Amino acid sequence: MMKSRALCAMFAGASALVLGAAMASSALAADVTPDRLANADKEPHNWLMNHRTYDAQRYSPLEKINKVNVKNLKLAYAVAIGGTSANENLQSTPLVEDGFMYIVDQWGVLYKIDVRSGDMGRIVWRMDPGQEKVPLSNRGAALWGNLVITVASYPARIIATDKDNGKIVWETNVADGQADLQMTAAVLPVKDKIIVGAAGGDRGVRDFIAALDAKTGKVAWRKYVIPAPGEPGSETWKDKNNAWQTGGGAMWITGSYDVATNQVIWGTGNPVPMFDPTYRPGDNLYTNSMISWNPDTGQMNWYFQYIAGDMWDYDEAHTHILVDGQMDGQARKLITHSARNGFLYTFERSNGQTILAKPYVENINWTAGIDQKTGKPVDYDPNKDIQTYNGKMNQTPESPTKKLCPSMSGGNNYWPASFSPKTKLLYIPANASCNEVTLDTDAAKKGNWFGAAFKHIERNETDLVVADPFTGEVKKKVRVPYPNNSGALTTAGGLVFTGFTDGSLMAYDDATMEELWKINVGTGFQAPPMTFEVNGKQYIAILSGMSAISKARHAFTPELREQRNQTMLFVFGL
Amino acid sequence: MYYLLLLAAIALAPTSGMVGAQDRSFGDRLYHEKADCQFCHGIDGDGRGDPRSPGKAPDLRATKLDREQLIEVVRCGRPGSQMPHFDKYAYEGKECYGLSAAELGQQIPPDPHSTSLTMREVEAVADFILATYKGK
Repeated sequence: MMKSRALCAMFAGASALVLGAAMASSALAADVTPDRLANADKEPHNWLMNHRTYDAQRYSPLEKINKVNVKNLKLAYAVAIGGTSANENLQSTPLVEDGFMYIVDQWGVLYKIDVRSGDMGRIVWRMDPGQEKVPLSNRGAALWGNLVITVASYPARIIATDKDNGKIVWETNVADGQADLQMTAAVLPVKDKIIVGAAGGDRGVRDFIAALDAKTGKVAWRKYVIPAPGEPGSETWKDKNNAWQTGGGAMWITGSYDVATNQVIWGTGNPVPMFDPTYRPGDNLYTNSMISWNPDTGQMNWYFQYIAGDMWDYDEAHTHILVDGQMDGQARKLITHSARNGFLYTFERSNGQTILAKPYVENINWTAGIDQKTGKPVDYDPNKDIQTYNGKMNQTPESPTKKLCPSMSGGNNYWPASFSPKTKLLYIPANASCNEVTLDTDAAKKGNWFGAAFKHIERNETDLVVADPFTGEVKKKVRVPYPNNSGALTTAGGLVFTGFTDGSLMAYDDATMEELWKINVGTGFQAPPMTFEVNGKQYIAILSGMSAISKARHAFTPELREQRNQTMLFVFGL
Repeated sequence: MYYLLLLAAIALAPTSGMVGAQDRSFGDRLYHEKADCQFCHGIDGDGRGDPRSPGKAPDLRATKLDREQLIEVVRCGRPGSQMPHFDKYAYEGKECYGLSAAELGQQIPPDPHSTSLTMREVEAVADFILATYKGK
């Protein structure tokens, strides 16, 4: 008896030593304070939030990997992620804080990975929230204090995990009774709150933006994208189907935050059913909009709606990038957005007033153009309950099949553009193809919320578009024969990194767009690349693994017919 | 005595039920995971797949197709629609609908986004749909 007790004591002592050592190493990591997040650009070695900085530029000041030496970039290590079932995708942007990486897979599983050694990524712990099934995607984590905060779906939750030991500190169910609500956007910590956008709108839910107390997870405020009857904007839902309850407005992507004016800028998704405006006549506020919210109170400051009564799934939930620059000799603080509808918009940051809206996609087929003062399509008719715009692309019961240009995927979409403050240019991965929809006005009545059938009709290719957000001018285009569902990263090394669905990761010269480096890893990319530095060495990281939607974009790409899919983390270094 | 009778009853029981259960599990995994039919037809087979899935996948609970017809559609796809052909070699000859790839042209069913299936797998998917969804 004494002997076994002694053994237990020894074991406990050894455990305490191991635990102590682990705590000592993690104790080096300082809390992520609101001040550190507001000054994330001053920590060039780290990537502390989804878009790296609150302005959503996805630009890194690191320059050890640069135009001269990028040709020597090679795989440093890889880590298997997910693998719970076939056909998974990864869309998370990895976060890195002082040598530790945080990523999330499609099952909402959060991974802490030790990347300090430079020759391997060791998984330190995993937090599995126990999702019943997978949502469309999970786009990553956020850091606040000593917490890693993530989203999970089925049921929809926000979860705070202890950064040191991987244990859940608080978990808040935000489903509000909506079974099909999905949480896909990484949350945005702002001061003492965690701002979350809800998604899954295409399945007939009513999406919202909310703020949770960062310490407790208690919901501080919640504002629905679609107003209830009697609320401002409800007059733009003119149906008799109670469409406001199922009208979507999903916030699939993390928003941006302007510290100086204390406003969160968040894009909203399409109205639902997405292709059937006959179910939901009216302008359908506040879908397809850019909205400014006060993060403290949830008060809407102002909004801008891109397409009233959208019928092509041209949601505008992806990044709204904050840029500073000169226009007509004046210093300006602006917002720019490469819209899914094919136009590059630039707005006044303080009030959302349109500065310009110019096409960055060829063959735009739905409108004759955008009014440069109001930002509205020139063929928008406020007297129409169901818009026709230029009359070429609006599917109707009498003429149900239409060719969509841009395709229903855009243009640009959840694969983020990047703005380089060095070149003052925007780098936009843009879908260069068209596709086709056929309206089905019976679908929504049967609970099928898409309201149409769609199909690919041509090969899906990419134009990497370099544009000036201060003039709207397209400076350069590079055609790549595969879809880009990944996104762009710009660096002070003068490089633009992006991935493609064929498994290629590329680096371009940010001035000439000459291809400087390429590797093909054999599995497609649907997540954005990022960069970090540890022990004085810079790395490029990206997650692989594609969704069924992305794989279906290879419909007219016969050479990729047999391509397989793996969910992996790849890290590259010199 | 009672236990002996019970053991005898188990030993003598027809095994078709057990085989059926195995087949259903096999077809279930194919439907929900490997072939990823659920992406378009829905996790419950009711046609409520992902809204961004191509085509207009029918409600399998309302299907009128019999086993032979279901096998043909899974194997050959539906010409002119987004229903893929899960038999990789379906259109190398004229075994599907008596039509070749050249004759179908743009109407040829697409490749699946997931993977092609063997005939044994095609049959397991059809059996799963019949047992789980049709008429339910």
